Amino acid sequence: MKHINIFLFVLLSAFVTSCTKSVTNPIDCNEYPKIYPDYVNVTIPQNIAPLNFMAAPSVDLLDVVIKGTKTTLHFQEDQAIEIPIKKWKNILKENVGKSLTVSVCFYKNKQWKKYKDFVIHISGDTIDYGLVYRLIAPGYEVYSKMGIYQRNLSNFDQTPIIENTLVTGSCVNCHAFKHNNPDCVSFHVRGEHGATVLQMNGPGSEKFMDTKTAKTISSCVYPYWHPDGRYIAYSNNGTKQAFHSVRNERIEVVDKESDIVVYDTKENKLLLCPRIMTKGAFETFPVFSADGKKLYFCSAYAKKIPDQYKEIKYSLCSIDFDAEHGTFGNKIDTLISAHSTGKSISFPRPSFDGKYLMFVMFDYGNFSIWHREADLYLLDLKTGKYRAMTEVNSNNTESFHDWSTNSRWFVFSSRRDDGLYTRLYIAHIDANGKASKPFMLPQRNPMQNVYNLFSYNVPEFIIRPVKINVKRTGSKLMDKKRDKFGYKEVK
Amino acid sequence: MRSRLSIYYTYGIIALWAIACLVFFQGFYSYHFFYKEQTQLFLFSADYLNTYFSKPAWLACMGGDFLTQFFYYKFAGAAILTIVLLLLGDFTRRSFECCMCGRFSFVIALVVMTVEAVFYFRADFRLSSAVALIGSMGLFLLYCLICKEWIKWVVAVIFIILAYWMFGYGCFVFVLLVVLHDISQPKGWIKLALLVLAVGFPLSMRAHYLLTWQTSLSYPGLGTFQKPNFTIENIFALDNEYYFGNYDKVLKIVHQSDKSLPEVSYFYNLVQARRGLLPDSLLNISQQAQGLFMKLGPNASMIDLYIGGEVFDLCGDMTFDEHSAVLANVFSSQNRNVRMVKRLAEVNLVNNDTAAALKYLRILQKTFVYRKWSARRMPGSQTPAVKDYLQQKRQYINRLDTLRNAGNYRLVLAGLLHSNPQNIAALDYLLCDDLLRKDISSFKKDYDTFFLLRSKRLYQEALLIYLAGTKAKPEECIKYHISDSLLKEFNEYTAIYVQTKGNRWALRDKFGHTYWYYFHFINKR
Repeated sequence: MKHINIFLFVLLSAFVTSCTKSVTNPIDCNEYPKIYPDYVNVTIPQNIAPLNFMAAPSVDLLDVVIKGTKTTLHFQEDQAIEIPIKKWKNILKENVGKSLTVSVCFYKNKQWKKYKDFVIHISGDTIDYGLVYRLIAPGYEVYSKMGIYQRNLSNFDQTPIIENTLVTGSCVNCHAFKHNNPDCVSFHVRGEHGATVLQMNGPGSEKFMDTKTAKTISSCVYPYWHPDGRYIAYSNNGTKQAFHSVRNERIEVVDKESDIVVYDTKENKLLLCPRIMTKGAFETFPVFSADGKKLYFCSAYAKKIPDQYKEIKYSLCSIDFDAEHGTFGNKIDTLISAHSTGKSISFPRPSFDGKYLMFVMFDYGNFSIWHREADLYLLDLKTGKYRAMTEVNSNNTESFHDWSTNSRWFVFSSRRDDGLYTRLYIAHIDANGKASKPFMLPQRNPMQNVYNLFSYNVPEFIIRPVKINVKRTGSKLMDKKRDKFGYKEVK
Repeated sequence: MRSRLSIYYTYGIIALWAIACLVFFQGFYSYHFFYKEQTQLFLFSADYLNTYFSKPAWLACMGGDFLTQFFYYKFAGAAILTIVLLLLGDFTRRSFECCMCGRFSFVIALVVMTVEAVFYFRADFRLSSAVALIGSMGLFLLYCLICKEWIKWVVAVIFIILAYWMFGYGCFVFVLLVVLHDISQPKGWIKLALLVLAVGFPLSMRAHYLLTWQTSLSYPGLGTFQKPNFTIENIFALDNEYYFGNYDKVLKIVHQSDKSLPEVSYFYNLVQARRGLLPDSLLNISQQAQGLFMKLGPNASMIDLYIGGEVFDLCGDMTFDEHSAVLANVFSSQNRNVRMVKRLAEVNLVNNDTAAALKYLRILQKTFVYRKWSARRMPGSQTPAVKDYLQQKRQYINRLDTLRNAGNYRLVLAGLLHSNPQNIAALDYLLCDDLLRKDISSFKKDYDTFFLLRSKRLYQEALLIYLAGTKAKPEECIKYHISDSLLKEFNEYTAIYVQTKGNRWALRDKFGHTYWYYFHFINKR
């Protein structure tokens, strides 16, 4: 019996090896291989899923050798390489803080071509457990099938947290976690069964809120949790969608009015401060600083829509916030003025270590996601200096972004792949604020990015899987009973 | 002898049923198949097939969608449906024979086949429903092969779970057949337990599949009884013939249709505009007061979303063409609609947005039907005909950036005309849209801005209304090259109108096709 097993093993091995074609007399190309996704010279965390890739041009065979300090992996495929997760984890573990060398050869028209070796650097900084994002058909005002999903970054598991099939005809959006902690989550359901769902303390603690009050212009959107978990900053936006007639920008989302409010979860009251609810300005995208003592937001002078839409430019501002008393400072500081930049700012996000604030800057308007010129910028909160993140920006849209818990990684959405569908990219940022080349969220099959007709929207890191009582959530949303937000005007 | 006769009768009835089904669906309802095929997208890709596992009834849905892709071919839709329904009938007969209903099994099978055929009168009913029934009955027939009692019950439990996983609501059919099969046997509590399991299991999986309780029990979708909808069939016929460029046939169908339907006049106008004859024929059929466009947006019907982009494609507005394609795509099954994926590929090719076009072309390369279509359009290997087509389309694209609301079609057309004043389709749509909405002042403004001295009687009739209304001097008429004979006709119309105090019947025979008559009597506000 043992002999039969050995014989079968040898036979199988012979069969497997006979299927690979040895790389003979390759033409040396002094350039990096064109692979999809582009993983050439990227920096990755030690706990990331395998970086499977394929040849960007059409080839007959793709030969890949991944060399670490101890182990070498060899793959030969006709389309894309699929690296076994176990082998990948081992090779990453063996090379933390070092680099893997990747040799790639393409076989086409009975000729091998050998490309310049590239490296994949494995950082000692770990990344959070996973990501939460929304998958939705790109950009338009309608939705049929869509949902919020979580993805384990160590493998390819993507599971839905909520889909609108659970509450038919609805749109789920605006998910946010407290400091990447999935026990505290806020997300919004729009439509006939609309509600803001708040989970303060793990599954089962969900509350279903109607966040519109007599004193606010709309329901609460764009949530951001205060670090102590008691407060959530929201904005109220009167939003309209319009279409550009030329192809480059496609869609414009404009606010006709907008204000910022802070929800006190303990008192069940919105704190309404007149300084961030002005008539003459649009205030939006509020976020708390890492220590919770400031509230950053974007603000623009109100203009006539649509005639003056290109003149609407948001500045980055802040106001002090006293978490103990739920009060705001007396003055608004303008950190980056649209007047001086001539541009508009959206989606400010402070790093959790309190050192930086990342934001998007683009030509005009409120919503950067269809602006090709939109790029990521980094503000050093100590020096007050900011810079374009040229290491990660592309000639297409860079937009929503989020920091990992250790503030060493950030994820952002970009349309660089095809100009239409946002895909997620992750980049490392070192202690000096220098970012590495970003890498696309790995997929088991790289072509998944091509076949997928959904955009990745609002990526947020999570430190462990999100658990929501789906049955209860579905039933509660369907019965339409909502708790009301109260409000309190503060000076 | 009697038994042989009865077999002949059986086969005869089945053959007659099949012929009736085939003839009806091919002869009177075939355009529904094309619509069903166009509003889905089946890809031969592991990632795509994997998406079926995110909901119950994966095998039924996959099988149904796989077969639906062949509805593209003429005669295939009716043939496939008839074969599937015959298969369903056969499985039903065998299943009920196993349930000791031998005498009635044939009748039951006929009823099931007929009911399922009736469900197909609905445009959005999917073939997966019949596959779900066939699959669950197949499991039941396997179950019937088991003799040992205790094994049967264990297998029944496993099959209920399997049936739900693979065939969705088919698990109820399975368990009902099991109960019927073993009705005479004792241990009624086991049957009750199976029934509870058949209901409880889908409900318990609701959170996993993220479905409402109603959907979780009826996945992949129950049919509804309705009469055949020949109005919708007619709209699908117009769409199909327009899509394949059979414009004469479109006009023929229009003349046989209920012309009060906006979709009918919509296709009529598209064909006439394509031929440069929109102003000449606009008032030959009943037109809609709201203008020449389908209202697109979240509240529009799927059919309007599906056809609404054709006008932008014709006039050359790629932004709204793309917008309407995305809308229709979003509202299709699984957000995939092969017609719209093709349209999106073309829009991006016209816009020279190669990366975006490649995405859609690569998707289409994974289809059975559109692989070659995609290959002919691949950047770098485009055929001369494709290159010519794209070049021609590029002449009309909008180069003037403005911000428009989804329903602001006037701005769309004006933008196109500012970019290319030779865009006759856009011009006629703009002017005719003004006229149908009886917005004479906008018409006059647009006419003065864009009109290229095309001598169109319709426009001159409308100008006369404006000129009369503003008490213009005779020189104005000369400026607009209004002939004496037309002026004479207008004076005659006005005289009769005044004399009869606006009696439409006195004017209808002679002036029924004039814009004056439309202005006074049709689509009154």
